[in-house]
Amino acid sequence: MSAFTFYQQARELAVLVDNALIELKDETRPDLRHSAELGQMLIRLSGDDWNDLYIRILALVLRQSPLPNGRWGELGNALVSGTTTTEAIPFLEGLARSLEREQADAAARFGR
Amino acid sequence: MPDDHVAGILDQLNERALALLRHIPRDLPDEFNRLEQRCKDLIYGCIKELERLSGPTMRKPAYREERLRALRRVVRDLDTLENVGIAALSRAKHDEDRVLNRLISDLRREIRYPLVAPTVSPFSRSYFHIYPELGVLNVPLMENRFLLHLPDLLHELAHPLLSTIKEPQIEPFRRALALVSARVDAHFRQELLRAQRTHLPGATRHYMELWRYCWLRSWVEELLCDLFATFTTGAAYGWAHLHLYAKTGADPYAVAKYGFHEHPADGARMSQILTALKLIGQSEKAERIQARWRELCLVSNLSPDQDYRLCYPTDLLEYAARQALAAMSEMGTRVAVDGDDGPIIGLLNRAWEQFWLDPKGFSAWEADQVSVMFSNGRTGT
Repeated sequence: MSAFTFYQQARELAVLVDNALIELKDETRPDLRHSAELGQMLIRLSGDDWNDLYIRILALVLRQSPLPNGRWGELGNALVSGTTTTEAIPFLEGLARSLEREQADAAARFGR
Repeated sequence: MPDDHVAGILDQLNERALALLRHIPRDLPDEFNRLEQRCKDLIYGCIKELERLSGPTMRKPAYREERLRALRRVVRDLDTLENVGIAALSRAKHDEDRVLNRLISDLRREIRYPLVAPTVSPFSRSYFHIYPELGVLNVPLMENRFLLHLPDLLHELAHPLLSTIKEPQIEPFRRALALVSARVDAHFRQELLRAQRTHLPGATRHYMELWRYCWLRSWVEELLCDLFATFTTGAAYGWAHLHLYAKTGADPYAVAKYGFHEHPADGARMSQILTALKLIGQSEKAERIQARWRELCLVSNLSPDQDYRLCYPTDLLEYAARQALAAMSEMGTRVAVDGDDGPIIGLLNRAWEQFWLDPKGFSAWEADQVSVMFSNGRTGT
């Protein structure tokens, strides 16, 4: 996809991941809707859904992740069911940092 | 990062956002209304986000990394708005800009383009470039005086067809992207397995991983945009690609080996364009372009090697061409018919015929045509 589109979609995903992190770091956990939305996406990662731009970007960003795709699916299930433990946070922080790098790289390409 | 530093940055960003709002000219021409509203909505969004980041929740130490990332997103958003959206609005009353916008608007009707036309702005720093989510197409400052590269506008117009979400009219093209991507993914997975079984060198396997990434991240889309442009303009797009390669290209058969490449190799793009021309019955023109292409490659003695063939399999390129043509037919977009094109596409093809008849004398002919095309406030009539 074009550098700008990639940047925009990575940006929206980054907002979702950061919102999920904020929810998970809040010990009272009053509302986990962003975590659940992110969880749904991680579950769909294993389906090779090339029609969905967000899933496509997530798959590309996670290609060098230390977690295999199946483990991201497990994490997705935990996020959807609201049973995530604090152990998930470092993985999501890693994802957030990867998305930050991808955005910076794409932004340099479209010469903002 | 100390809180007083962040507070200072947030305050500066807020001032910048307000300054951008004040910089939007009043009484803009109608064709800029959509961009004006889009820019304003995005700036309001930035201001709201800055308020959130200044609030007590986001100032908690536990959220400092999320806050910093969010702050950087606002910086990038405002940069893009300033350099692309507001820059386009600041020149909106310039007659030459309005001419290009009329051209795009007429072209949209002529080819039955299914989305709203983007706003054209002459602030490109690197050839033609579209920002689909902003609805801005940047072109070089002098582009409204020349005809030979205007077919590249069609390539840019295809990008939003692949990035616009929830628009049923363009679903066939989005589906083509998904189908070609799935085929690419399957192809490289299979090749990687084969490479492992046959103990190919690690470097080759690394290249294949990189090619798969490049294809899925960017090349499938770029090739589909080339196909859209070829199917709508016919041979003019092939000539434009040849011309651009002659002026700016390097080795057209070089493959990515050390990092992500945004565009596929020029040789693969040309091969795709020729396949597309043959699919719409323009074989004779495809052969003429191919002859010139070979001549050009011979100058530097360049030809495809084994890596190129592994990276750009012919069957993948042909599959993409067939899927794109089927999608365009389903979308109802006008496909170029040799000798029976609309006014603008017809002119772009005539320009190329004229260029080859008299390359040295072409500029005078071109200046006359541009003058006629843009007279009376309309193009193509």
